[in-house]
Amino acid sequence: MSHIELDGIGRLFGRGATEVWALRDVHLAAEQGDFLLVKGASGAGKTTLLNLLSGLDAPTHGTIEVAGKDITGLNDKELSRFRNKHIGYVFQAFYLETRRSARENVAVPLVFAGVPAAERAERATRLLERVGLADKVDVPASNLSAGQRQRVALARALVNGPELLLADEPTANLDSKTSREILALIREVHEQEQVTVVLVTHDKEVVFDGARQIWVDDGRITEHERVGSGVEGAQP
Amino acid sequence: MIFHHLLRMSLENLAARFGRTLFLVLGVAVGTGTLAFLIATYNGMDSLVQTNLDAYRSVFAERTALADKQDELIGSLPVNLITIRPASSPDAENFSEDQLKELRELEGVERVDPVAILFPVITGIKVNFAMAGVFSPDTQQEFKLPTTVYGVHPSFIPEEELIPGERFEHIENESKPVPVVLPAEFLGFINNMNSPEMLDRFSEVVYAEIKKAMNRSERVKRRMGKSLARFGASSLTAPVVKKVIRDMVGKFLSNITEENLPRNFTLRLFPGLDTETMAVPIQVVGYSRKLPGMGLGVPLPYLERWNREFQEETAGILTKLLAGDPEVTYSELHIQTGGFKETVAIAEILRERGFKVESAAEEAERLEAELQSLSGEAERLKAEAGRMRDLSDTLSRGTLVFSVLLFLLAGTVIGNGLSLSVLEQQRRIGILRAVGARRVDILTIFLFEAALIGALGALVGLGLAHAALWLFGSQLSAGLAAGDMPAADLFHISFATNAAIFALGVGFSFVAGIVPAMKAAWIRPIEVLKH
Repeated sequence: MSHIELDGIGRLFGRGATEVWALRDVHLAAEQGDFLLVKGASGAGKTTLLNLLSGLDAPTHGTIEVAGKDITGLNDKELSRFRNKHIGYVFQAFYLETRRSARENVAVPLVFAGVPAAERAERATRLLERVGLADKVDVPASNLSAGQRQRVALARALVNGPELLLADEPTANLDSKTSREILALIREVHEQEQVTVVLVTHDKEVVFDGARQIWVDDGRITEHERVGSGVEGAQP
Repeated sequence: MIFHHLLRMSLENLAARFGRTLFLVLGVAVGTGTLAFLIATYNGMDSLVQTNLDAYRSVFAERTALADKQDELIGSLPVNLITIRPASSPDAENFSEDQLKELRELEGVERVDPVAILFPVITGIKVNFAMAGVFSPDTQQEFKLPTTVYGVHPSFIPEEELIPGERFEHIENESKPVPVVLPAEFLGFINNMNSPEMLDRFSEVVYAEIKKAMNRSERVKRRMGKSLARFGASSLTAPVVKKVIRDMVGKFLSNITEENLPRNFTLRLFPGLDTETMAVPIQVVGYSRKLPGMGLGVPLPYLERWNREFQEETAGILTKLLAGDPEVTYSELHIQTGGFKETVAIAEILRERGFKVESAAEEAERLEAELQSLSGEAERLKAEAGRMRDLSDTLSRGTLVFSVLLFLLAGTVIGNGLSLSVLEQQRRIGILRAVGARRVDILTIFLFEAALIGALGALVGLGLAHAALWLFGSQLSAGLAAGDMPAADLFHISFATNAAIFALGVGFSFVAGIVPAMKAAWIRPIEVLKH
């Protein structure tokens, strides 16, 4: 059984004259530890795919299984718990709480996991050290650079030890050098944690050695491709 | 478990939007504060109404009692009778025959009679009265106690004045004894008799009589010796006998109480003349502190009957008794008039002439005036209470309507404020949902916010209301003519009302926050987290 399995997924937005199929008849499977690089033009359906995988959105038809569980049949409480325990989500715009410190931002998912305050602080600090922000633990997010903010966002996504890391255009708002650093960090996390990564980018140049490239066009998966090995390939 | 984290998030949200939070808190504060102020004012008004109603009830009860008394008085008072004395001062001169004639000629006067002045003659425990100037040298020596026969109406001696007593009842059967009230001083007189000096004097007199009797014969002396021996006399020497007499009399007098005094006497108005028609049987029904001196209280109907039946004879007797004394004067007169109006008018004239005047008609008039005053006061209070009740009802309705409007307004303000807050925090909510927050968590955060705003607003509002009541309570109190009631007591809010207003503030804010909180909880993360 695959770690991720999408079977006949379709997602329709709007009604009547305004209806748009964001995804149509998508079939996709991935094993634990796979790195999926989802590419496609803007509006192709990449983010919709991530939202469906995270349980933030529900398909119009089809089933989605993650770690052997059909998440399309879960209620709000179960879905929230699923996201909290199994999913790490990195957004293009970071979405940090700017008044809070880096550590507090990272610890937010732990609050909803019911982790005690001391343990939250400890785990958040450890994650920040892991992403290279040991010296920024107590700095408010508003005082961090874009790259540092995205590292905090990555740490937040990883703090609960997810099995599936979803990254939606994580480098879109970063300069090229910082983008490379973030991608390298994701790659490092993937290798060390054996976490399944689904990274969405519209940048055709971004490649990861050993990653599966999936091209999405007009809501359909048009092409699967596994690229060669070598971290150096992870170039935007 | 994560409630305190959610509460903290709520507090952070409120702190982050301090200006709006302050606005919302003030909105609730105005609502709860105004409500508290209105309730306190309503309580105050209600207290005033109750106070006025209580006063009205009290005055009404008093009026009713007085009305009953008035009916009784007007029905039975001797309104055509005036009692006059020369003046208040003790050295004033008595009425002369010339003055009697002059008084008889006054318009409205039907007759003028001197009142018999009697001296009581007490022999043992029997009471007789001797008229002024007709007494034996012995009685004059022993009991020189000038007194008056008073016409005493039952209503003049309240029941509680009798020791013990019972109210007079008009006795139609003339053969029955006349009920009388003796002055309480009579008892005091008996008690005075029990003093060492009086007992010594009494024992001297009795011993002199015993000695005279024993000197008559040896037989009497033996019998006297035996009798005195029974009472503890060891010899017939003067000190021993006097001591026995003193002890016996003292013991006897000590046993005299209000209860065991004899109740039935035969009053001889003019003892010494031995006129059977002047002998009146009397029954003591009680003792009163209201009767001055050693007087005798006789119900007026009986006195009137005496006057009517025996006046001429009495006058004749007086004339006879006092013949040869052209300077006879009278210390008290009874003037009979044609009726109530004449009594009042003549009493006023006599008072202007400096006489000491008493008339039942004037007493009735005074009571009537008092009654009118009380009646007017009762009517005024009744009208005032009605006005206050109307005002209180209006205020109650106004308070209710105003409170509903206030809370609708406050609810709208809170709802809109929280909706705005939700709108501003959409992405944050989306992130929280993305990292595992349940809908109920988001709902809780915003309901906490609403409740916190309500709690803070209610506290501030209650504080403002109490401050306003403290500042304006006394003015309100004075304005409502209840100056004798402290504002703190009048315009107060009970602890339970405070708690209820606080709970209402929190509850209403909470309810107003439900819709925005639900909107927040049902936000779709994918829509708010679009790039």
